[in-house]
This record gives sequence, C-alpha cells and structure tokens, in this order.
Amino acid sequence: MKYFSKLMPFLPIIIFGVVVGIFLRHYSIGRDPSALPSMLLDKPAPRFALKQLDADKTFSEKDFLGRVTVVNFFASWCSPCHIEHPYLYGIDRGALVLGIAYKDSAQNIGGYLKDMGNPYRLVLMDESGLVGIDWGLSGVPETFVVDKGGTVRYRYVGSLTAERVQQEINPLIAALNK
Amino acid sequence: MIARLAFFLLFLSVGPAVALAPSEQMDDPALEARARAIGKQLRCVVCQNESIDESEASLARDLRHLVRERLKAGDSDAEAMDFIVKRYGDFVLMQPRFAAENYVLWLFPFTLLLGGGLIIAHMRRKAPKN
Repeated sequence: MKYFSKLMPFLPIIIFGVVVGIFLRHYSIGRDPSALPSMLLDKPAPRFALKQLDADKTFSEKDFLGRVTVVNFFASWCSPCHIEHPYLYGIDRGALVLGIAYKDSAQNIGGYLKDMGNPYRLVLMDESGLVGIDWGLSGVPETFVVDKGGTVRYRYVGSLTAERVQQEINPLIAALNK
Repeated sequence: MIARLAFFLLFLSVGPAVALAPSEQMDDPALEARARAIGKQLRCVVCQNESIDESEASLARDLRHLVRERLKAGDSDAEAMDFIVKRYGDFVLMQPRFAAENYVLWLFPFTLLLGGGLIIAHMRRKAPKN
C-alpha cells in the first residue's frame, strides 16, 4: 500500500502510456490509414461467371480449384497497370496467372495485350465491374493469390514491383504448392 | 444594371452539385429515399472522405446502383448495407459500429471515469478529516 501511494502521482502518466501503446499498436504503427483491410483474406474466393477474352467460353471460380491461382485485376486505361505489367512475367509459373479485365472492352484489352505482351495464362472480361466489387476492389490494379482449395491467401492493392513479386508472391506460391 | 442583374441571376441558376444522376434514380420514391439514406451511410473507398451518395467516382456510382438493385430485389436496409460491408469491411460505414475491435475506443472513457471515481472515493475515505 505504501508503494501504491508513492506510485499514485505517476498513475495518470502510466495510464496514458498504456493507452497510447494500445492505440499505436491497433490503429497506427505500420499501417497506412488509407490502406483498407481485405475482407477476403482466408475466405473462399467470390463466385463468378466471366467470359474469356475473344472466346465464347465462360469460366467460374470452380475452374481454378486444384491450382494455385494469381488473380490480377487490370485495365488498359489504368496507368499503374502499365507500370506493373513487366513484373507480371516474374510471377512463378507454379501458379496460373489469371487476368481479369476490369471495366474495359475486349477491343481495348486485345490491343493492350498485343502492344505490351500478354503475361496472363487466361484473360476474363469483367465489363460491368460487378465481379470486381465482389472482390472488394477499390481500383485497379489489385492482385490476389488463391490457394488450391479456392481460399484467398493474399491481396495487394496497387502496382506490383519486382520486389513484391520476388519476396511476397513467389514464396507464397511455392509454399502453397508444397 | 440589367447586365449586373443577369450576372447575379446566373449565380442563382447554379444548383447544388449532386453526384447522383437522374437516370440512376428509381421510379419508386420510397425506395429511392431509402437508397439515398443508405448511400449517405456508406463510405466511398476511392475518395475516403465522401459517402457514395456524394461521390462522382465510378466505383461509387456502381455501388449506388448495387444498393438500388438490392432494394429492388426486396432487401431490407440492413441487408443492403451488409451486402456492401461483406465486400469492403466495416470501414465503409461512415458511422463506426460497436464491434469487438472498437470496444477499447467506446468503453475507455467510461472505464476511466469509473476508475478515477473509485480512486478519488478511496482517497477521500483514507484522508484525515479536518
């Protein structure tokens, strides 16, 4: 009790410190306040039915079960997509690299891939952007890694970089393929 | 004088900027009112300080459309909001929820008040009476 009363004057400071600590940990450190948490992480990938670019075939999320899949939302009108384009080739081909064209026309996407090269195994068209909303997209590009069981394991918002691909995506693909 | 008046009238003719295009609105005024109210409570994830009701962003337009589709399909207001929250998280709610990760924020002031009150009461009881 004696110690307690000696401690008393410092109590507000101690409480203040603890509260600051909690807030920093939960709400600030290492977190960009405008970066949004993904609702999809460790959840099943949303269902979809999308037409393939320049083909009369429709694919659903079930068609990708059994393979690690990298889902990259992109558009020909999006300049950050142009920036990340060369790094898409660096993605470990142990994964199927699926491009979903967000709010774009088949004609523009066709031209874009012809000019820039096509890093995708398969390109699907989300012309209305509604599938993007199901994935919680806030813009393009966004990249997801889905495991063999169809669970979303990774999300990245914005342009991929060589480092991001080498240090985050490829090791994850390797781990998911084990 | 007339030129001045005309200039002044020009300002009056400018209405408030509304993101919502007339073509987006629903025929049923009751449903439309509900959709507007929901839109005001949902944050636009592209322009984070605006609600989807105010935002010109194309994603906000899509979300407004989606909310209207849900209402037309017979969703309640809560169901329509949940539809968006499921995809974008609690973050899209302009008004934070009383949820587990926010307990600290909501309850801390009351805990502090209670704790402080107890300490003061304790000290007063122990203090020598003059």
